[in-house]
Amino acid sequence: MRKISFLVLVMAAILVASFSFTRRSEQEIPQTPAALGKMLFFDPILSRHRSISCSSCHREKYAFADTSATSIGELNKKGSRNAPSVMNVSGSGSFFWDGRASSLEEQALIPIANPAEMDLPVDSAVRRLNDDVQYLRYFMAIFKEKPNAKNLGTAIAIFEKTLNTYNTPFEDWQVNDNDSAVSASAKRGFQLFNGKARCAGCHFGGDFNNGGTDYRNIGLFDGKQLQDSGRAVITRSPDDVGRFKIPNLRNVAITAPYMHNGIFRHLREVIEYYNDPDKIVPHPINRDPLLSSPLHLSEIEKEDLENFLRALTDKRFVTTPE
Amino acid sequence: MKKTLIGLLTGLSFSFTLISGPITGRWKVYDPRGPQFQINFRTDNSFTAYSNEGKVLITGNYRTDKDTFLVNDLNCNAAYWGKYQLNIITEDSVAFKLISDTCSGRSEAVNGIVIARLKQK
Ligand code: HEC
Ligand code: HEC
Repeated sequence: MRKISFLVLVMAAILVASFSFTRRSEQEIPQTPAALGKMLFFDPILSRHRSISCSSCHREKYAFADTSATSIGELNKKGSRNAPSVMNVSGSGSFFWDGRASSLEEQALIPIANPAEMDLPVDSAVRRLNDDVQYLRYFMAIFKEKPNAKNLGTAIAIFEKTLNTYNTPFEDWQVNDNDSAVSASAKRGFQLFNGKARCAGCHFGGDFNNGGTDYRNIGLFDGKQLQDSGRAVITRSPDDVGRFKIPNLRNVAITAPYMHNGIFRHLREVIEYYNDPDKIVPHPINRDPLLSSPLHLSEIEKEDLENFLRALTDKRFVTTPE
Repeated sequence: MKKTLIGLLTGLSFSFTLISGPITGRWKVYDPRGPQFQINFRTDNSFTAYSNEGKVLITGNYRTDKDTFLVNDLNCNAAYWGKYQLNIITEDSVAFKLISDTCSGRSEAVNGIVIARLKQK
């Protein structure tokens, strides 16, 4: 009798141990749609070979942007565009460089199915989540229904909408009137950004992206070396050839490389480009009239502009060493 | 009777000159059509509008001339000043009414808003 109960006890202990081995600890159990979305964002379960997650290309340390010029998908498939930050996207009216998705909910399912990215049909992704006892339980607890394409997109979108960053030197200066929050150089840079350098002609509003629904051509399409025609692929309008969504500039100092194709590795290169675009892309098609003449920025002015852009970095990234 | 009327009038005009002066300081913006935000009108004629969470939304310049408010920001043409009438409801509460502003986005946003002075920041 004693022996049996001992055996039962040991077996139970083994069972519990093995169980908790594969189970997430209580702390990790998501309680909210945002926490569930975060878990999914970091989980390779959403890729065909379970090898990459959203966070492979949208790297948290770099404000959820990619450090390689164009992203690498499953099985090392090379994409053609640079992965932008997914922070500060809640106020944006469209997504992707060409604006082909109009909501984050819709956007979230696209990389999962994209053969060059996660390569897992959305139906299969949903089936996987239903077959996973833990996810099934989390979705039931949070959404009161089994995982489906809609609540999958919703969870990820809600997580992304929490990623707003405005704890920056720029805000400290402008909102708190803390004059020493940014350098004199960065202050001059802000003046230049709004004036001589013409940046605010396109990059304006809280996220410096004119609401994220404005597409402009800064001259990175020439039909030869630079072949991505951007917005025109979606609208089929010749006017849109070479136009791309005006990107958000928050945390831009840590989201290199830059532009839809990741062509520039440093902020300084971006500024050199705007200073005299012809020097870098001599025969652009359809370039915006705002950029028709060189800016004639001095070396100090270029530095000032760069220092202003650096003041848009959230403090959470300043304390993390590279 | 007359005296009290005169007293009332001088009192009124006095308070009017006081409050129709600069609207410097921090204000909360009530806009029935949109999200609430705050605005800091500085003595150097610059202003910053920011969300309740503290995110900068718009920066620009302003001027006041009696009960006329002139505003200029980069979201519109930086060289152009939109014109609004300030209706002083109380010393700490002011309504904006459009006089002229060719920047339609701005006039839609500003016309009709009421701002209330923030006591302490
Ligand atoms: C293989 C790399 C890769 C993976 C994995 C990936 N993305 Fe992306 N993401 C990109 C690239 C590249 C773009 C830009 C593509 C374009 O504009 O055509 C992008 C764009 C986006 C955008 C648009 C941002 C904006 O401002 O327009 C969002 C949001 C986003 N991804 C979220 C996600 C989510 C959520 C997942 C996981 C379900 C994910 N991504 C997985 C590479 C990736
Ligand atoms: C005519 C509109 C316009 C003007 C003016 C403009 N930009 Fe841009 N900016 C854009 C667009 C559109 C893109 C994306 C272009 C692309 O990828 O082809 C962009 C991209 C950028 C990027 C890269 C962001 C990223 O995440 O990859 C930075 C940084 C930037 N701009 C800063 C500036 C600065 C600084 C100025 C002023 C010197 C400026 N811009 C002037 C429209 C403009």
